[in-house]
Amino acid sequence: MNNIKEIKSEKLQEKYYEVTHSSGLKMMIYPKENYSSTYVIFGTRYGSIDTHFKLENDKEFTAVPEGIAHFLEHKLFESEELDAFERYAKTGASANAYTSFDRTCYLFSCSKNLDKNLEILLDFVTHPYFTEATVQKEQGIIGQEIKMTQDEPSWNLLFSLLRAMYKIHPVRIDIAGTVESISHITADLLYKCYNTFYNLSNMAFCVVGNVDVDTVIKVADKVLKEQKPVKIERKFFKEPKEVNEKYTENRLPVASPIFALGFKENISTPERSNREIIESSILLDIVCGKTSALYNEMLESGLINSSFEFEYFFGYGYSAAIFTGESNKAEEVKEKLIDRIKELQKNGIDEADFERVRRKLYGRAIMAYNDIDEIANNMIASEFAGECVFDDIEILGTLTLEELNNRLKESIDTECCSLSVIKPEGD
Amino acid sequence: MVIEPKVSELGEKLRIVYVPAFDFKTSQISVSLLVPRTINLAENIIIPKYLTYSSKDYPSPARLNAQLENLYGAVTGGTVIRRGESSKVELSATCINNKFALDGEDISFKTLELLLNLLFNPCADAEKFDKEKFELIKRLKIEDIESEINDKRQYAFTRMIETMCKDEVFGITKAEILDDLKECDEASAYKAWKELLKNATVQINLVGAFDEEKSKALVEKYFSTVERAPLENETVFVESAEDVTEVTEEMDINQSKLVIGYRSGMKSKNDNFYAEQMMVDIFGGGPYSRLFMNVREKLSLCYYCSARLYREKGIVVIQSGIEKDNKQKALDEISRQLEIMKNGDFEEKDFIASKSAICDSLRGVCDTPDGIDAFLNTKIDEEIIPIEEIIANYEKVTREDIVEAAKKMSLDTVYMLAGKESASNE
Repeated sequence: MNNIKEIKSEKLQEKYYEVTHSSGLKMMIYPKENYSSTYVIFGTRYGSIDTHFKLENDKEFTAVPEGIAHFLEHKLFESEELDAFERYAKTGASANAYTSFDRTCYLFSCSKNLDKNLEILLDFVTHPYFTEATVQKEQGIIGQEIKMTQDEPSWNLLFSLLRAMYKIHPVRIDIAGTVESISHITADLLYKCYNTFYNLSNMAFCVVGNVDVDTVIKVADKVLKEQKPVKIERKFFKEPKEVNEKYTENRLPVASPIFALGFKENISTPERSNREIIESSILLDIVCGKTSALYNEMLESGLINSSFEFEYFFGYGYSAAIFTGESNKAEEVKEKLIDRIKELQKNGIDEADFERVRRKLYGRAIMAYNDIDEIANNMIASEFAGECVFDDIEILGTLTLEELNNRLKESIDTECCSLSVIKPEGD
Repeated sequence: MVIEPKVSELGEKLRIVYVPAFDFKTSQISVSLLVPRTINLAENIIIPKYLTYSSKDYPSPARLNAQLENLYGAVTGGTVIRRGESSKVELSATCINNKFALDGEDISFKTLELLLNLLFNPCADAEKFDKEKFELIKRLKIEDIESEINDKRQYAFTRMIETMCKDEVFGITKAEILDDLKECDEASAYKAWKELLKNATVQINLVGAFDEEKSKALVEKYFSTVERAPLENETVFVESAEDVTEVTEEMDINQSKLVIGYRSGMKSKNDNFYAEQMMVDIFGGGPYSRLFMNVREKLSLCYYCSARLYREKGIVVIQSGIEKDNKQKALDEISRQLEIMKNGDFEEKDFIASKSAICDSLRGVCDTPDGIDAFLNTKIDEEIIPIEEIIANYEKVTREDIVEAAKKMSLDTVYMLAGKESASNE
C-alpha cells in the first residue's frame, strides 16, 4: 500500500504530497499550478565522503577508492541496451546528474512525456550495468573532468582550505578523486557500492511542477519492486577540534592572489539542524554582508573586491564558516574578520541588524519557491537531513536574538581557523 | 506557463513590456539599454555597476542595501554584455510578490521606483560622477576583467574571439578595453551616462504583479526628463572565412583548451536562424549531439566538447578540454563530424532528438519570471513573437534545411591554450 500525506505551508501558500511507496521509496510530489514543465530528482544519500562503510551483516568496513561515488554516477547512465541519454533523446527531456560530498542525484526536466521520462529515470537508476570495458572507457573522460577542475583556481582553493582545516575527515578529498585513485576502480567495486547505497530505503524521489500524484505512483508501481531496507554503517571520522594547518600557500596562473578563510566548527553530532543553519547564515550576513560596516570598509580601502563571498559550509560530520575573495593582503582580511567576530561575541548583536537580516531572509525564503529545480533540490537536501523544506520560514519567525548570540559564541572559535592562499606564478 | 506580453511604445525605440503573472513568488524588473559598442565602450562597462552601487537618495551602499533589505531582500543588479556589436547595459531587480508583504505594501512598485531612481539619479555633481566612488568602481571593474584569466575556459574563448574577429568591433581585445578603462574618468563617465539615456534603444520588462497604469506613468515621468535621439545598432556579419588562422599559446595548466571558430554563413541574426540553431545543436548541443557521442563517448578524448551558435554575430564556436597530445585526433574527429552534417549522413534519431529537446525546453521558458525576462531580452530591438510561434518555426525545419545550413559553415580560427608539459603528468 502507498501511504499519502499532504504537507502544507500557510505562510508560503504552497503544498506537496509525501508518498511512502510500497517499494520502500519515499516520494515527494509537488504540483505547481499553471507550470508547463516538470523537474524530477532521484537521489541517494551517498557522496564522496562515504569512503568507508559496511552493511549490518558485514564483519568489516569496506574501504573504496576516492572518487568512486562520482564514477558510479557516470556509469549508471549505461545499460546493456540503450543508455539513458539515448532513451531521453527520444522523449526530449533534458537530463543530468551530480555528485556532492554527501549525495548523488539523477535529474531531468521536461514539458512533455512525463510518464515516459519518469519510467526511464526510475528504471536506469535501479538497473546497474558495469563491465570492465565500460569502466575502462570512463577513466579517460573522468580523467579530463578532474584535470579541468584542477585548472579552476576556486576549486583548488576550496580543497586546499579543506585539507588545511580537516585532518582525517574525507571532506578533504576531491569529489571526483584523482587520476590515480580512479584507476583502482573496478566493476566489482562499483557493484559493491551500488548494492549498499542504492537501496530504496537510502534514497528519495522528488517531482515538482506540472504533475499529479497518480501519474507518478502509476509509473513507480510499474517499475519499482519492493526492496528489503538496509542498514548502512558509515565510518565515523572523529575529527579533532584543531585545524590541520593554519596557513597554506600555492601557486597557479591567476591574475592576483585569491584566498579562502575557514573557521572550523567544533561539533559533537554529525548533522546540523535547519535552525542552526539559518542562524549561521544570519550571523555571517551580520559580520560581513553587503550592508555591514566591515564589508564596505574593506571594499573601499581596497582590501577586497567584488569577488568577496562567504558561506556556511556543512555536511555529515563537518561544518565551517568560509570566506573567499581576491586580496593582496589576505592576512589583514583575516585579522579584520576575527576582530569583528570577537567584538560581536563580546558585545552581542545589534537588534536592528538582526531584524534587517531576518526580513531579508524571509523574502529570500519566499523567492525560493519559483524555480522548480531549486524547490526539488532544496526538498531532497531537507529530506536527507531528516527535515521538512517548509520549516525554514517558520524557524525565521521564531528565532531570538539571545539564541543568535549563543550560536555565535558556540559555533565560531577564532583560534580554529585556516587561511589558504593561491598566488600568481612567478611573483 | 502561458504568457501574454503587453507592449507599450513610449517613444522611438523606447518601450515597456508588461507580462502580468500573479502565481509567481517574485516580480522581475529589467531596464535594458542597447547602444553601439564603439560608443563609450569603457564608460558603459563602469556605468551599470556605478549606478547600482549608490545614488543621490541612497548615497552609501550601506544605505542602499538597507533599503533593499527593507524591501524583503529585493536584489538589484547592474551588468553590461556584448550583444553582437552593441553593448547592452542592464539594470535589474527581483522582489517578492506583493501578496507576501507583511503589511500589504506595493513592493513591486516600490522596487521599480528604486531601480528608476538608481538609473536617473546617480551620485553626481557639476556634470561629474563622485570621484571617490567612481575610482572604486573603476578599480573593481578592472580587477574583474583582469581576473578572467582565472577561468581558463573563458580565457581561451576570449582569445579565440579576439583572434577570429581582430578586424571587427566584436573582437576588440581585453587589453584594448583595459587601456580605455584606465583612461576614463568621472567626467567622461557622467557624459557617457547622459548619452546612454539619449542614444540607447530601451526596453523595460515588468514581469509579475504590477499596477500597469501606475508603473507606466512612473517610467514615462522619468524618461520625459531626457532628450532622446536613439542610434541604430548594427553588427557586421562576415559570411565566410577567407583562410584558416591557427594560434597556439602556452600556459601552466593541466588540461589544454581547444576553441574553434566558424563563420555560419548567416547574413543577419534572423537569416535562416531556426535551421542554423538546430544544425549547431545536432552537431554539438546536448548529449545526443555528434560531438558528445563521438569525441567524448566513443573516443574518450574529453569531458566536454560542444558547439554553440552566437546568433547576434553569426558565428559558431566549438570548445573542448583535451590532452595536449590529442589535439590532432580531436580536430580530425570534429571535422569528420562536420562533414557528416554537410553530407546529410547524420541519423534520423539525431534530428528528432534535437527537435524534441529544443521544443521541450522552450515550453518551460516561461515557468520563471527570470526565464520570461531573459526571453524578452533576446527581442529588444525586434518584434516579440510568442513562444508557440518559435516552437512552430522549429517544427518546420527539415533535414534538408539542416544540410544547407551545415554546408555554409566555414572554418575560420583554431585556437589552442596548451599546457606547458606533455600529456602524462599524472
